Amino acid sequence: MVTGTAPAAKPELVIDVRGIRTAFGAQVVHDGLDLQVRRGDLVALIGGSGTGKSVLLREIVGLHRPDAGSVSLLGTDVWSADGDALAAVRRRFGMMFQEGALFSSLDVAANVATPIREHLDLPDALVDELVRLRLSLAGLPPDAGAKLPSQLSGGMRKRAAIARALALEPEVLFLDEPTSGLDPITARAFDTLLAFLNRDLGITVFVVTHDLDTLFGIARRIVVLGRGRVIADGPIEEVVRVDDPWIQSYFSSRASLPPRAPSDPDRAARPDGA
Amino acid sequence: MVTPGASCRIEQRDGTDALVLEGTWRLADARRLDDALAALGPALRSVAVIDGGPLRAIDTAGALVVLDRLRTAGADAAAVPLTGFDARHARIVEVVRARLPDPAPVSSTRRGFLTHFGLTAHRLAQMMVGHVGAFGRYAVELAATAIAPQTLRRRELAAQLAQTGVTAIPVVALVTFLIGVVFAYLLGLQAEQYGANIFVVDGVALGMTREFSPLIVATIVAGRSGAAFTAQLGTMKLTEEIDAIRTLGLSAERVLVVPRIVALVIVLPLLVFVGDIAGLAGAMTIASGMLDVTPHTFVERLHTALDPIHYLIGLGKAPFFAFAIATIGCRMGMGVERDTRSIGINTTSTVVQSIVAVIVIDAVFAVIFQTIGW
Repeated sequence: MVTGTAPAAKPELVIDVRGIRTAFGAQVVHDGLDLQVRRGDLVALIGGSGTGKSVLLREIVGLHRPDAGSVSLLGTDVWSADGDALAAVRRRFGMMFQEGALFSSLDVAANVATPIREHLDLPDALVDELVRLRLSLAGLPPDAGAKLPSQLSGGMRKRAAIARALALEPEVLFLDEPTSGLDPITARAFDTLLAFLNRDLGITVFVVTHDLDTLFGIARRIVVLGRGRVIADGPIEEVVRVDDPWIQSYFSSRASLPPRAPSDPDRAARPDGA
Repeated sequence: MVTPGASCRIEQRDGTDALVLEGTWRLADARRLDDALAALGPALRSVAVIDGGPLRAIDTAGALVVLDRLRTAGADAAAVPLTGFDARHARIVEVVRARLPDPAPVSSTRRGFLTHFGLTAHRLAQMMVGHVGAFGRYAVELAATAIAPQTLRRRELAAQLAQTGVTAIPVVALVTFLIGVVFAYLLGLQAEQYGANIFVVDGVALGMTREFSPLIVATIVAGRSGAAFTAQLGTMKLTEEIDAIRTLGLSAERVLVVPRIVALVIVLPLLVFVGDIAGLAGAMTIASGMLDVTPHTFVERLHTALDPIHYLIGLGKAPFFAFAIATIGCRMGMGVERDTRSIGINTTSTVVQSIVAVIVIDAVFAVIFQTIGW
């Protein structure tokens, strides 16, 4: 097992998961799982199917109660906090669900404006500008705001979901498989977006992913789940060397492509895959 | 100079104005920060540099407020240099500056009455055209199934018979029983005054079997099964199951729609029969309790008073109601667009349309029977 990057003296723990145990009937998913994430990190969580990546994510954000153990998010114990404390924490992180989970009856701008209007008392004009800033931060064109989620392509919908997750200036951003179902070009644009949010806005990013390019490209730290706990944790160069059959087969699973003919012009013509 | 956490002021430096930001500039305080900047008034116009030295924290909302106010005041927000900023803070301000949204256009998306009226009429027309198309398609599929009955999905049909029929019996019986009670009670109040208690049987028998039972049962079924059809098929549409059926070379209409229509056409007359019995039972209860008409007398009177034609007309209308409800339910389900909101809209619409259709059909029958003197 690789230990994390040498713990720098300062940065506080944003996520502190200790001794988590999760079972669905007889099937034990997490068994004494520990995980810490420091402020400003960009962490990718990987693991085989059924290792409980999404469940862990839901436990961290307070959507699924673990059978044992504690989860501390931004200094609040999620599963023992009272309603007010939990609500306060929920305003400080953003979450992007796998399929976006945009409110289908509202246009994109109203989706992004919802958390702002619910939690803050701001003049309408300012809310409007904030919404358009969020859309732009998420890489959406201004006219996307007036569209309904059903009118957007998959990639745009995911960007809209990020824009909504960014609405309240989150300190932590959780993403569940943000690049799944996207073409590689759009997926790389997404990675760039995450790296930008992490680097320039100082947002801690915690992403569940299966995308090897995300891991190699932007993740500063990889956490591997397996057998109910963290089986490897560290920068990519260290994780790929961990002697574990699943990890080894995972990182050797990338098909090595033969040299390619000039790239498909149809694809290249649409940079965001929209 | 407002909140304890954050303030701003304009300082003279080497003959130029510097906007000094101090404290914590965050989204939570955006309104107060905005007001504080607004209070500086036209002085903002001459700001030549922004000093973020005393700044403890700033987020994109804080940066947006500053840049937006500067621009509104007429300063060159896109180019004002930053000074004294912490590197992290400066990066956030620059990020926002690079994406500064245009001033909010006062866009009016509100439609006028006439536009709204026109759009609604257009939608309604489109829906009717779609209905006609669907009726045609379903009729063809039904005919094809009639020619080759072995293609009827028996398992699906059985499931639908159980779902739309058997499980509906309790609610149908309860509601029609109560209607029978109320109906007999009201008639009884009037008839009692003339000592004509026995005629309550005539009235209830005719009213229940010919009109009330078919109408009420059809309404219940529209709300129950019509809505269920739309929700079921709509969800299948959303999860691409219907597309999957088509790509497997099957007809979605044959597999999904025909069994539902056939099932409902079989089941509704049976439910109306249940409704007739329950309604008369309700009336019988009131008659013996309030009007001194014993169940024995009630049944005897029923034999002479109820011409079977009324009862058969009531039952005979049921398949037509059923066809309308099932067709509307299936058509609205198949017409769901690829978003979840659409399922709710279409389900509501199914119930409304089905009930309206049932009443319209009933009225048409009333006119026809009037004309031929039944």
